[in-house]
Amino acid sequence: MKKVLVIFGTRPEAIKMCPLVIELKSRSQLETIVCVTGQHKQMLNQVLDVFGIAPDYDLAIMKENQTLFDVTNSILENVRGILLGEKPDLVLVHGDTTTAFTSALASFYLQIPVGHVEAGLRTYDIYSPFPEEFNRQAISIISKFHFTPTVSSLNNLLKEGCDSKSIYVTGNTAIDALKYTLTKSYHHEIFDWLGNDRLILITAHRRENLGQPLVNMFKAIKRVIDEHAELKAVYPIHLNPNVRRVANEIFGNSSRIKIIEPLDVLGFHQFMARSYLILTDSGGIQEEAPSLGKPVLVMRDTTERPEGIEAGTLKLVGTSEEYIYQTFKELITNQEQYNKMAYSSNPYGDGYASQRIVDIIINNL
Amino acid sequence: MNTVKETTKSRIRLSHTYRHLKVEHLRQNLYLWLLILPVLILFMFNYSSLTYMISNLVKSTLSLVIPSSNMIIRSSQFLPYFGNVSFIDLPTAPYNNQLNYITLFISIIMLAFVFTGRRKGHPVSIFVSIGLFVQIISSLFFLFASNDFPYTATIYSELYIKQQVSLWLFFFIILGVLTALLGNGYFLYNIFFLTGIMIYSLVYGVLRYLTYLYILSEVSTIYMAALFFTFGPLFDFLYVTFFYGRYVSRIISVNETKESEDIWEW
Repeated sequence: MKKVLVIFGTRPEAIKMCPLVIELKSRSQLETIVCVTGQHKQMLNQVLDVFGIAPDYDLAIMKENQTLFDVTNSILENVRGILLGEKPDLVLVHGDTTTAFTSALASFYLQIPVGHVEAGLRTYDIYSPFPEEFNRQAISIISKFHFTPTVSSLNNLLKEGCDSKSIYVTGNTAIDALKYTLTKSYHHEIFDWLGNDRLILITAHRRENLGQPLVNMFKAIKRVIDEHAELKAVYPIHLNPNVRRVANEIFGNSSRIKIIEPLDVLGFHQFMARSYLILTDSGGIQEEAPSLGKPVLVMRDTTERPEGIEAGTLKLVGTSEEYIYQTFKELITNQEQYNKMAYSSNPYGDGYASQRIVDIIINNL
Repeated sequence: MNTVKETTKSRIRLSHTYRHLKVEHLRQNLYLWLLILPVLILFMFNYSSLTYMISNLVKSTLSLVIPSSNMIIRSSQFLPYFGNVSFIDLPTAPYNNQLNYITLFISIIMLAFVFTGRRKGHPVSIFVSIGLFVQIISSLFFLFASNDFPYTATIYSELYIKQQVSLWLFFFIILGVLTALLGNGYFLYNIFFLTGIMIYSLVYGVLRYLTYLYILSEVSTIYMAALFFTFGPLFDFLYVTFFYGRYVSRIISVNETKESEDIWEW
């Protein structure tokens, strides 16, 4: 029986890897070991609970004010021990986090094959997003199996010289996760506060947006919410104190914008389903929201998900206050434009990515 | 002694300048509104399924060389109210500098060849030289700015399907109107002509889609421009003009006989 070690450490990774872990564990041909690094400990555990996954290893590396140096050193050393002990036939990592990069590097040092889930995303700007763009490019050099969400990601890898036989378009496992998380019975006290008003869901925490870009984004959102009485906004805030301070300063005195603690994945997906429109700088939401028919305004200057822009499910609005304000307002007032975005088909998957990935592993390992 | 009319007839054929065929307006209108228009509407409401079938067929065939999982049938907005078109989202062959140099070299040699000797000025030579000229420009572009080439096999695939459906719509409308005007009284022949040309266009369109996607996905995108300008939409107009020419000749030859002389009007 072949042994597969799955390593992840952040909440977004967990959301996308848990459906894959469930699928791997359902196959008798494979033995599946799960290792979490705890890069985002508190938020990670919420996700694991929702999917009912108990990790075999928990490295618990998170500490106060951790830097990239701390995270990298800690994961590299800890994962080495697990790899030597378990001797897996394949290590599966996801996306572009420091956990994914360092685990892939450790596997490479021990010459253990690596499978890269959500491979091939690129901005080709090594500092944006930072350090994710470097991480994913480096993982691609190491990986034996590249599981890309779209053909466009596959093309990126082909351009970089990857062997076409090692690349598989599987769709995105984020869409698979929706099958496990959406439920009609979910209720949150915020839903009572919302009543029949339209919910604008906000997420913003990205490292390169800290500082003035974050201020611009929040000011633009507040202007539109203040001008439209039918709108109410909810911001499940990130734990980063720099994000919290700016959000409290700008949204603090608004009666129609609620800042709430981070939601678990189950809750967040319900909020997405209940929302009218989503403003985000996060990556995963750009893929998930279109499956729920929600237009997404991406508050970043670049995106590694151009397929969504082409398909019309996403709009890149940058971080300038005026542009975010104009685009957000236009989408609220122009029903035709809203419908066009809401009803475009999702290019990121059909909910069967995990199944495809496991089939490929079984047939090729 | 010959009459003026007979003398004229011996020099000027009935179908020539200033004459046209007598038209039965009722029959012409019935043909247009009860046959051409309903079939056109039927096509418009079904191009969505047709393009899905074509994409499925082409995907199945291409899966002999490209992994099936790496090709996805996607849909894209086309005409409002009539539905989306389906097309294949597939990998794009990465740029290969060596292949581009070889292509450029061969294209220049061939261009010199078609412009010399007895080949010079021959229609086939002119057609080939257009393709070679476009290929040389394309190769030069890739030589200096391959990273700036904005198209992928997927973008071309989507544009191709939209262009093909537009051509089918255009051909059907224009040929429907023309057969109504010229082929008055030749109902079966009109149906045969229209059906024949649409079937030819369908088969050619599908085979061309398959070939183009294979080249762009498995060989190189440096050939995209040349493919478009040689066997692309211009070629469609070429074969439609050819079939239309045959059709008009047939109608004229039938009506050039002495018995049918009275159906020509000044």
